[in-house]
Amino acid sequence: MDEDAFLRMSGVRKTFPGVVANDDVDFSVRRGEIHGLLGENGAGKSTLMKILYGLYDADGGSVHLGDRRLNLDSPQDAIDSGIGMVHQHFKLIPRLTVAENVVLGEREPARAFRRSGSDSADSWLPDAVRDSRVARALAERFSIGLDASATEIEALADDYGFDVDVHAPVRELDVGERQRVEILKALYRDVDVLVLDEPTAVLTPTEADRLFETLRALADRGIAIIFITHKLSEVTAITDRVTVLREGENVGTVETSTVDQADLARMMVGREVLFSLDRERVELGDPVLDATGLRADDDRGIEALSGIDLSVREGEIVGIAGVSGNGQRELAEALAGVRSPTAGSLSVAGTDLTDESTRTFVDAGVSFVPEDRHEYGCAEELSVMRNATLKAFRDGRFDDGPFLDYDELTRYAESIVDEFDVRGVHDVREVPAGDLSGGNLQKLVLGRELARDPDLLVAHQPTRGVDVGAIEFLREALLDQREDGTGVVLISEDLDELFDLSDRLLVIYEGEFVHETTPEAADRERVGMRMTGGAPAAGDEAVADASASGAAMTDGGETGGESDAEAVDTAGTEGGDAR
Amino acid sequence: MVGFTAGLLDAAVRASTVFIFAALGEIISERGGVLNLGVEGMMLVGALGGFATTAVTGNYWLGFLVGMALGTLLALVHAFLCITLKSSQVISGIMLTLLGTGLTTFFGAAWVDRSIDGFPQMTLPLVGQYLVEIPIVGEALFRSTAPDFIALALVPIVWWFLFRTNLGLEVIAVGEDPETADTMGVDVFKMRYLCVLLGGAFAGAAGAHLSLAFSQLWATGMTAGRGWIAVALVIFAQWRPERALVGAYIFGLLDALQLRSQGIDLALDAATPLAGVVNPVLELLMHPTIMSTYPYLATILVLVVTVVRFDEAGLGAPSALLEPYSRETD
Repeated sequence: MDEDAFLRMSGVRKTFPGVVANDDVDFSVRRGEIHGLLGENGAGKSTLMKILYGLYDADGGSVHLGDRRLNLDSPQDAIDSGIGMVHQHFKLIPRLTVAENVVLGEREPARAFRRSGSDSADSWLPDAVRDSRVARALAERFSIGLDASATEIEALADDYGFDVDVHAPVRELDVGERQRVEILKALYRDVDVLVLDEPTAVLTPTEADRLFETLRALADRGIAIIFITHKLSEVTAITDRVTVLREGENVGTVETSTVDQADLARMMVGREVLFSLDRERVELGDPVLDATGLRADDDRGIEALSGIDLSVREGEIVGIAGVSGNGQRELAEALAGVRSPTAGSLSVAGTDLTDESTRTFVDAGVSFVPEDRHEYGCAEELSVMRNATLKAFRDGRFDDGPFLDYDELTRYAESIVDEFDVRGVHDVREVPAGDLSGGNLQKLVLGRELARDPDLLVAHQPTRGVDVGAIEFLREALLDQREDGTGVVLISEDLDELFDLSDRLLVIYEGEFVHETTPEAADRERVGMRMTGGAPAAGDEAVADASASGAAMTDGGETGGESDAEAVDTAGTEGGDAR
Repeated sequence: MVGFTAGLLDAAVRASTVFIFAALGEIISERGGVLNLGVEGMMLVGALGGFATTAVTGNYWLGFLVGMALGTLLALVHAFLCITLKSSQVISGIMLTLLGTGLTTFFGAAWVDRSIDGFPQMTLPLVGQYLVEIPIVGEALFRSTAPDFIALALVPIVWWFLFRTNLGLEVIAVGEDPETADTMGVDVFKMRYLCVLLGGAFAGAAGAHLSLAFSQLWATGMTAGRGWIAVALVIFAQWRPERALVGAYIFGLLDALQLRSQGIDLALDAATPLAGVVNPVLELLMHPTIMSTYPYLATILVLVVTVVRFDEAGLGAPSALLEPYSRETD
């Protein structure tokens, strides 16, 4: 074990029903280092850190900070020991102000009651009262020292270069600002160890860079930083050392400078990981999707699709690139039959399905992998079995007279779990889908959709928030389905993914297709620019075929022209998003 | 007319006290994230317990405290079921109302014909003797029973507790997002227990006030649904004590109006055109039985208007209301 270690977790063991989340894990961190904790979804990183933060009780093992053995029964114990955590899903209460959120749980008494001898030494209360334990206990509960704390918080924020209004309600802050409030919470409590759980999942590249600078500054002041991530690029960008967890075990701790991404991926997954896939040539068949002039509104009633023409053939993956918020969600839902178009027509395998019910779409052989696997992709409270059979159970082969044959359904679900490598399921009938980690849930959803052998698959961000091993699996699955003759509409923000998988590539901007190309012919810079509405140079456009309407292209060009100045400015920052 | 108005206001203020107690208690409970539909039952046990204690001991303050204690006891059951066992808050609350109703109907039979000397009318200490002289509102506001004054004092106290103390901040946090509060070191279970028990104490006080100060008798089911109105009032008040006061006054006024309406003769002069149509309608609307429905109709109206105007977030409902909290998800 490392002699320089400041934080030492030894022999940590934690099991949940059917799965060993942490299997005798040793983990140590030094002062002043940024230590990455890397692993696939479900490898045990979050569990280990929740034990550190007192949210979970370990079944075995110990935690030492310096020489002291820590007793971590609750988050309060962790806070008292100088451990702070910035969670992936922010632990902030939107209705309360920044100051209130930071101060929550500290029970700062009103300024008048602050302990005599500190810098707020002048108070109208006599010292005897201020120091009395009874008075302090009462003051901590029945008063609140918000103004004094607010000043302290502002000073802290200044110190680290954060720009934040401590009296603003958190709901008015954007994501980057909220994360800074999370960090302030830890700094306010003078932490020695700071844990960040997937902090860049919600940040733009620019915000992520700012975060890295902040973390480096904190580390330089001696704070031990633990950085949980499944993104290999981040590990190499910012960590000093990295520990890799795989299936509950510590696979190894290495100096970041001595490894590359391929090494890390191999450690994470246990085998060579393919970073780019081979796309075979496939004979294109009949059109499975024919959409013309599609228009649709978003949830607020504002037009989000402004005339989409799209056709997809058997064996073709049509990739749709775009920055989130340009109509992708509405397009995906319209194609899947979940959202009614306000104009235009849509037919699948020759049958007109315009304005038909979702069920009709499902029965017509359309499968849908929605963007939000938790909210819309599964029924979290229901078991894996029920989720897996959600669209298939009406099939005749599951009939047992007037009843459903649950054994047959279970077998069907188990075969999907097997074939699609869904981990964490010891019994398909018992494990609720919401318990699955991101990548495994996504595999389950895709498995459910593909097991129906669809004619058309609409996949919206199928690999977002998913770990490397699962991403590889999902992409292979999409390519396999393409070889089987399914037509796929792949909507994604990940250009690498689109370039890897698509036969044709379209760019959507403000509800219209503004660019069409193929991965072979495309210029990534131009695609990135078109994603943010940048105008093409005259004559540079790739030749459009009949599936992208000429009107859409012209419109795209005109809007591009108007917003030229903005486009140039935004292309600088947004180009990063397009990467 | 002046006499009538003054009398009406006086009655309205006195009738509002029940709602103030019950609504304040429910606000605290719901701010903590736990819905308490057992208010009606807790009010009833508070009323009977308070009445019986006073009848036996002659001490109405003791009766008042016993009423509060009984309400708290029932709330303890609710807290245990909902917070520790994580059962449905709705079912538990309704069960406690049924329990309270049943218990008090059964045990209350013996006390129905008794009478007591409850809280006497008094003027507000010190300043009351002068302020009482104010025309129309003087008597109404400054001459009441002790619980009436206590209830009024509780409005700013509860406001200050929720919005100007650390405990209050923790209560709000626990009702908005118990998981966040937990990670910040707040004891979620303790805070929720505190909120539910306080809610029960206030409900018990509301009931005790009814039998010891407002009407000084015990009658089966004497709360007459006021507990349910209080629950609706909390929504109308958007979980803020000062608005609960306004709502309480409105309902107190409706309550008082119903009793006093017999003194008003609202018929049009027979010679006026349409008098033949309007007068029977007015007579119907002023009929005591019809008027007794007005508080409940008003409740429905208030709820519909409030909910239609706001979506859930704008309404100000505690975000974690009705959700039991547990730390480990497995």
